Amino acid sequence: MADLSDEVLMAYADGLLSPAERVSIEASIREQPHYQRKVEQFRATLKPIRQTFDAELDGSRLAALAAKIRQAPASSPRGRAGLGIVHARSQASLVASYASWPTAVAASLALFIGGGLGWLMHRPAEREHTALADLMTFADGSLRAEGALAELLETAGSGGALSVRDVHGRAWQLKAISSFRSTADRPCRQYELSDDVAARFAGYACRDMHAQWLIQAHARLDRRANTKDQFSPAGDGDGGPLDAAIRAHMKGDVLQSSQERRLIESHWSDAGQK
Amino acid sequence: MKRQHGRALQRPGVAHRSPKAGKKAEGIVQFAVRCVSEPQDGSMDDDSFREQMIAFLPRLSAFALSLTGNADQRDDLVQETCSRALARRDQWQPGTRLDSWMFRIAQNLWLDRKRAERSRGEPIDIDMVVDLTDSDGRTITENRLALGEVLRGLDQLSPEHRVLIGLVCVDGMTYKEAAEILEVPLGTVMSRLARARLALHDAIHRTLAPKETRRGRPFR
Repeated sequence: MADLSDEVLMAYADGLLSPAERVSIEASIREQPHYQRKVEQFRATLKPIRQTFDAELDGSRLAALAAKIRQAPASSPRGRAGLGIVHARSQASLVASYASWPTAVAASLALFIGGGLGWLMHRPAEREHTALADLMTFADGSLRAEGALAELLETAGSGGALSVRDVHGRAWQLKAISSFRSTADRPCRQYELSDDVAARFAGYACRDMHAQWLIQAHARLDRRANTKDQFSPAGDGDGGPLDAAIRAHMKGDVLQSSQERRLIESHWSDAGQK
Repeated sequence: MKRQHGRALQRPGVAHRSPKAGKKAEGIVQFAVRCVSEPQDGSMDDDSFREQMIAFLPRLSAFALSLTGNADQRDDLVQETCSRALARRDQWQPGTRLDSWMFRIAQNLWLDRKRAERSRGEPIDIDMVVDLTDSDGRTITENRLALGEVLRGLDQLSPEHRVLIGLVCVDGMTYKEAAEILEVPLGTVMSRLARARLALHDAIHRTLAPKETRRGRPFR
């Protein structure tokens, strides 16, 4: 008697086998109670599950969203369409509003207008936009790290990096540069993002009391910076606006690796304490 | 016995759906599938693109609920997916399936969110399950109870298994369509899906067992 794999039993339960295939295995199923049980379990996880979700297929609840989709601005090569929704009901999930992105960045960087780096005071170029919107959201007046960037800030030691690939297959490297405490005694981290072509960004974020990393400044490095192998960390640079902002915001020195490691291991639990 | 069968390309179980259970819903699904199918000439203007997105919303909503497990996060994920699809309209290739593309966006957004939640250690409130409204109070109460049990069962699965359940068992995608969305071989999808469904069955009955005793009625 042939052994039947779970995949075959599933296909049988789903009615996807040919008549000949069905006949060839039905004797085994009849004679083996454990095969029968599995077939029943597979059947219980298809039709009943779908029927349970049928209420979701009533589109009337989605009329408001449909109207927004119809009214959203048309997309263009540089200006991307979006629903313009910042949805704050669920803290864990906010809609990234592409149209409002430059405004968000401008608000965050108001201090730095006229800086020497290529600050994102304009609508970012399309290719830059793609990955940044995956990594940050603007909500409740703050620009917040999300996804892989939040993971990097939360868990990686300075010098540590994460590689991510966006939906278009472009590889991005996210790197933790340094850690320090802010004048408000919050833990802060400087980071750098770079793609596999030429785009490079740097910024710093501070962890708030709700374990969110709020971005204080974010900048695109200009061509001059792009030619360097490394972006200069805080306190070691040439006095650029980002370095100046970090120095103004920093209390004490950059944290030593042992201090940083203890904070990461404790999930930044002594944040806000001396 | 071959592990991959030609008829596995069919939509599993669709032929067995109860007309009573979802005649209206079935119509919406068929309409959505028809609309999301690629146009004959491979092109699509902006209005058509939007209308196809709208026709797809009910399926996207069901998929999002199967992933997130509660109504608020479902709505957020649906809106975020639509926002991103509109913003990246030019990234979608005419001639390819819009529904597959949007499922992929939703899946990536949700997996990113799960990773962020894991790093922050934030719990997911699976008791905030559904917020359904219907004129038939009795039906909706029974649906809600059953849906709650299923969502609790789904919450016991890995994110990858949950995505597969959402695509195949909730949306009705074929194994092959799921494999294309997830960009893994058909055989991999079948083995993962089989494990996911057995795990879901166990999880539902594990969470149900104490409630059967308390409520004195079985899971439907």
